[in-house]
Amino acid sequence: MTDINTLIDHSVDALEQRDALALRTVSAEALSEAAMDGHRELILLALVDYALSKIMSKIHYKGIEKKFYDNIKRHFMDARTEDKEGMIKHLEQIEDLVIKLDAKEGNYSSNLMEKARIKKGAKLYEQGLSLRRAAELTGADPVDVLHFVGGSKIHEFKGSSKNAQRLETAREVFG
Amino acid sequence: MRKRLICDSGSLISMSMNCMLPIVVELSELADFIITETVYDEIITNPERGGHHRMGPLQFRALIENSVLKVEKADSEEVDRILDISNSIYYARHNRLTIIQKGEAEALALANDGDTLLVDERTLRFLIECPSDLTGLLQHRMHKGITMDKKRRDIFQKYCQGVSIIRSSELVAVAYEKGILEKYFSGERRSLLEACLWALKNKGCSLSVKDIEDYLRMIE
Repeated sequence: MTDINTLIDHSVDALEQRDALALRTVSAEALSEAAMDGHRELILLALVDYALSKIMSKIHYKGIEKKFYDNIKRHFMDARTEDKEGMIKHLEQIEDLVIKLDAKEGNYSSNLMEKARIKKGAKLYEQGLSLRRAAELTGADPVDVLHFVGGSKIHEFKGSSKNAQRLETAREVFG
Repeated sequence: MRKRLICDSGSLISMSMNCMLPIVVELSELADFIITETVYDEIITNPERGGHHRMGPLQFRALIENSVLKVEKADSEEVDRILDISNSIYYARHNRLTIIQKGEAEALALANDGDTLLVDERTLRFLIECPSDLTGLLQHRMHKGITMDKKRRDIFQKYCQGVSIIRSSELVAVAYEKGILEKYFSGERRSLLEACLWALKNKGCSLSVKDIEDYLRMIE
């Protein structure tokens, strides 16, 4: 088990090195921990790390000022010293910074944080949580998560096939 | 006696997004389509409050006003009991895994009298039909040691005895067999079924490619 302070340290390292892949790795680890206990701070960390990794890897964000990353780093460092509530507040402030940047520089009407919520919501569903639980934890619209899942291979998991039985049930229900 | 179908929001939304709600209207002549209060909120109240899915509520409200969909309240004590049992079956590192929410528990509470659940997502389906598949899935995806409380699982399974599950794909299959699809979509008959199944899959119905192949083989 990796505690949240260690995950924040890893996030800061990745941020300083502008290492998008490392941020994605921390995001996945935070989400995996969150899937088990549903802690909001872990979810938030997974979301902001994912969004920051996107910012680092997209060409149209290349020109953003160092000040943006310095602000993010400051919030990460402050989050580390706070209790759970304070930590959540700082992570939410990172969320706000991402949303503001995206409103100014982004190419799409839905912002990066929304995309992060959908992507991570689908990941939680993939991990076995129900759609409602996954959407509730990430704050995503369940309809968007469902559509994202539809375009993925998540449902190709090989469980026990009951197609014939299900078809028979449907025939019985509708006479 | 008319059968009852307890519908989850995901299945109804998939059908709405694919212009397939007329199928629900037609099939409602043959069985009752029931939704819980939580599902009502998910398909009408919540999207009406904001977000970019505003068409759905307009369609669903009309279905309710025309008694195609009927809203029923589940017994809250029973819902709490279902939540308690179902969310203490799986453990990761000695932590209880919360698998389902109130919405699923309400549907299950209503369907417990031998009704059928209409659910497109796979988690509740696995939990009811084959909990060991869900253990495998959780283990495979979370890369963590997942343990199952077999006593709790048995209590849950006993509770769910008699509850059957279908997806929106089975609604489409029956609609195809009854000649309903041809009223609303035009094309070579066989390709109607295939196109509808793929459309549902693309909108999130938990259908695998193999499931679609199975249906095309099974249905005349």
